[in-house]
Formats: sequence, structure tokens, C-alpha cells
Amino acid sequence: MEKKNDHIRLLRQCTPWIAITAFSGIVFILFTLYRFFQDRYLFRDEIVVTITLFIAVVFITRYVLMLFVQRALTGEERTDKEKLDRYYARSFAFWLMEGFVYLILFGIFMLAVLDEYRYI
Amino acid sequence: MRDTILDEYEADENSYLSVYARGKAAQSGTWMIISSSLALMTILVTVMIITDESGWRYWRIEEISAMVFLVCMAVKYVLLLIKGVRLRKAVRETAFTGIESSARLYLITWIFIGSLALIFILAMVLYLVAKVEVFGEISEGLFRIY
Repeated sequence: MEKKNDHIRLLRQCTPWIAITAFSGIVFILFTLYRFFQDRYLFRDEIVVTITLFIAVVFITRYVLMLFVQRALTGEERTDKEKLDRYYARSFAFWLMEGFVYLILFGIFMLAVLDEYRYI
Repeated sequence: MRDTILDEYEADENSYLSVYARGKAAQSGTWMIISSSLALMTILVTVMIITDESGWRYWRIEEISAMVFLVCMAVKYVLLLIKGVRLRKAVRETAFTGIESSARLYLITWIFIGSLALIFILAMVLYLVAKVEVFGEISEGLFRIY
């Protein structure tokens, strides 16, 4: 019976590491914007700014949602089985969204490659 | 031995994972595989572009740092790919050991990514506070690629 909870315990231990990653993602975005403001030439390039902001929004949203998925494992009032039900339902929604984001990103990336690396 | 324990759970109403959770876990495993594969392909194409533009012998710190970053990301997605495959397999076979080992792999993946993130934050702080230029160059390298 005790072994059963290892699954939840292991999954729950991911939460602080996800939070660290999310925090560093935000730091990276702020740092990038700081460098953009320093480099006037780079900041004028609309495509660079658009791509940076796009990546910033996508990645920060991603980590926030990942923390939301992890929250499914908390709550004393729920049984382990209910927690896992919620966790896997949210996990599926997250990875479905992630899959589509990567499909779009990969599509844009391949178009850029075919267009002689113009926007990379 | 552990799977036998699970079989006992499966036999009664309080089975370890409900049919619903099992279905969702398998589906999330599938999408995990799709995302990781696409990310790995993107990384591969980026590596090909870098090596195509300048031979590795002429790499400056920008190219080297970008390559290190890409290798780290590749490791992350390989781990997630394995996790996806393992999760799908474990759920299909209702193997408790597999489900738990996929959770362990997931934790290892996040410890790996989180540790990199911590190093990254340290690098940024050093750059901003002590103005250690090498971190600025690493950042330039990443800009050049993305």
C-alpha cells in the first residue's frame, strides 16, 4: 500500500523544479528585452521582437500550465485515485496543446529553412 | 512482485489507476512522443544549419554555447520521449513498475532542466552584477540562432 504512493510522491517532487525553470524562463525573457533595449538596431527589427515575444508568451504560459497540472496532485480532501485522475486528464490536455505548439513551430521553422534561413 | 500487487488492486473497485486515468495517461504519452520528436527534429535542423554555415573548427564562443544549449535541450527531449514511450507501454500492460519508473524518469528530467535553469540564472546574475562578458557572448550566440 505504501509503495502505491511513490508514484504521486515522485510526480509531486517535480513541482519545485518546474517552478525554478519557469522563474529562469521569465529571467531570460527580461534579460533578452534588456539587451534589445541596449541594442537599438536589434530592437528595430520587428521580426526579431515578434519572435522573441512569441517565444516568451508560449514558454511562460507553458510553465504556468505545467504548474497547474502539478496542482492536481495536491489537496487533502481527495483520494490518491482522484488526484491521479485529475493529474492525467490535465497532463493529456497540456501535452495535446504542447504537441500543436510544436507542430506550428516546426512548420514555421521548416518554412524559414526553405526560405534560405531568412528569419533564423 | 510489484506487478502482482497491482493485479490485486486491479481485481477490486479500488484499482490503482482508473480506466479514465489510464486512457488519459496513454494519450498524454502519445502527445509527449509527438512533441519530443518534433522538438528533436527542430534541434537537428538547427545543428545542421550551424555546422553548414561555418565549420566547427572556426566556431567562436557564440556557436559553441549555442551548441551546448542545443545538446542540453536534445537530452531533455530524449528523456521526455523515453518517458512517453515508457508511460504508454506501462499503461497498456497495466504495469505498476513501469508507471512508477516513468514518474521517476519525469522527475530526473525536471531535475536536469531545473539545474540548467539554476546555472542559467547564476550566469545572468554574474553578467549583470559582475559584467562577466562571456555570458553576454553566450546570450549573443543564442540570439544568432533563434
